Amino acid sequence: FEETKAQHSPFTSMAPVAPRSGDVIFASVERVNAELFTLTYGAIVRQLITDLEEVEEVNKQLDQMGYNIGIRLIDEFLAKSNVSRCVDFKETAEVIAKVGFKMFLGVTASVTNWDAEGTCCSLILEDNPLVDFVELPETCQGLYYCNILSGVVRGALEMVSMKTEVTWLRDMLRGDDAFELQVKLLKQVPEEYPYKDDE
Amino acid sequence: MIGVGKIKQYTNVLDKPLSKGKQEVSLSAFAFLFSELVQYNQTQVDNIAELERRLEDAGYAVGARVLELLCHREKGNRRETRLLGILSFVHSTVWKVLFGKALEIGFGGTLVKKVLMEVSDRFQDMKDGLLPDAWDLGEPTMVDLWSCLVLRSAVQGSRIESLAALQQMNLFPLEQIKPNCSPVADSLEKGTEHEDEYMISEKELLVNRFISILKDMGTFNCGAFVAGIVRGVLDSAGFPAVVTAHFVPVEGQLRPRTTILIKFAEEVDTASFMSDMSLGLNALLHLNLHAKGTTERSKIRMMFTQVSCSLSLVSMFELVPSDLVSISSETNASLFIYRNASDVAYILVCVDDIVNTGNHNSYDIEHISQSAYHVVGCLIKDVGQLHDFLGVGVN
Repeated sequence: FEETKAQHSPFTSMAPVAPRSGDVIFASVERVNAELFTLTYGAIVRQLITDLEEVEEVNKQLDQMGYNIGIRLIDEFLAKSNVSRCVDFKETAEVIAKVGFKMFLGVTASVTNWDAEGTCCSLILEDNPLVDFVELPETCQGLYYCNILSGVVRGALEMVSMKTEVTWLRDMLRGDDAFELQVKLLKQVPEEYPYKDDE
Repeated sequence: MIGVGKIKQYTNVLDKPLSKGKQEVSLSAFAFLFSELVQYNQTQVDNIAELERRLEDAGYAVGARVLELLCHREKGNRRETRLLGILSFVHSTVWKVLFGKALEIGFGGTLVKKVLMEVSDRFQDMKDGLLPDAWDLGEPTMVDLWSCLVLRSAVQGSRIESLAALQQMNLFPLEQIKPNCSPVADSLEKGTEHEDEYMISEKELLVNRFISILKDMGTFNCGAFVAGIVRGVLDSAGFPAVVTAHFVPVEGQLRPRTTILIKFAEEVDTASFMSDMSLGLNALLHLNLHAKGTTERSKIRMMFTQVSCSLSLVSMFELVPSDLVSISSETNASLFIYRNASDVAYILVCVDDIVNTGNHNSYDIEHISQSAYHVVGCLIKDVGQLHDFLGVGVN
């Protein structure tokens, strides 16, 4: 199992470096005011709603944008965090919640609701910089405002060979008390090489 | 509240307490988000101009909200009514909150040149040191203009006849009255012909840090988003303007500087900006002349020093109140008060009217008013006793 999977990133192939905690990384990266981030995201969502009009379309587009971000974000995540290969999906989820969210959004999530096989869990976000100042109007009740996050998680995990399905269980903008993102591992995809050793 | 029908569990978003604004996210998160914004818009347009317009519109909405947020949080719901105030607000407060640093604001080089010409016309000996041609007026900054205006006030108002006399006044070192010479591209020189154009210049905009523009996109600048923010702030504050972002190549630097050019609409009164500043400066200047004793003088000198170090002229009008000069009103930056043991004088500047009152016994208000008038450069009639002001009766 371990031998066939390739290293994800060239940076972690040398002497093992201790993984850095989310707080440490967040303190060391360059940061910007969260309000600029919030307002920019709001502008994006507003543009999408004006252009696409259908709430479902907007959800899909946000997810796609998140996916595009996620596939690039994973590189930065791996480079900066020095995490070693995760042993199982449980560890993956923990790392996403504690290190990933912290180093990009400055907030930590918690992981709960593991199912029996350990392939499905929930990430709970109490604090979400995307939704400061946001209120959903009556016309957009079906909108998953933070859907970009689900795309990011999905895209990032796909780049490390895990196909997942990410959905929102609870959404504070719809009246719930927290944001709950359900991450379900569909399958581990063995890494494909673009060439074969012996054709 | 919990579980009662369809009532939301959290209270209305407007009831939530406003955060202090200290929360941060990583720069890369923002950069990723911004890149998605640009990429999405690229799929929706056919040409570069429209792409810029869409980015600007996105920024406009951000700007309008930023103004409300910052006015409420940082300025205690005070509304800027003066051009100077709003420009200061944009280039210091807004920039500091959004992008983490305050900037220098520059403006039409012709303005500085004009002032300097007037000054150097007065004295032959000044001409040698201060002629505009002697320097390359690159992007003059607020400090430069301020320095020039003080100089002009000093020169015209007090009838100082020579440079030596001015130096004796010991307000601040004369060396400070020189613009900083920074190279600027030809393309921008043209932009500075008009007096109603202002520029905010930055080495590299935050939003452009991770973006490289394809050659076939011409002069496209993602700074259009930031231009939109500025336009949103100005428009919502009641100063309609056209704001654009430009790249300005700089010799010796690989990446060009970015300049945000602000051109105010016709209805915005850009002229009063200069006279307000002049009057205020001059009033302070003459208080210095009349200051009795070294402690008063040094207080005023300290104020001037404070001012010359600060790029925000609005803060000049809000100097630390001392018993010498104080600004009594939080909302009105044109009220000057002179006070000492036995006298008090109030000077209220209102666009083109000056109201002064006070205990005239030993303080010569007339002189101040006269000197102030010289700076503005036009004859002001003394209309005698005030009967009404802005629709309010006076007796």
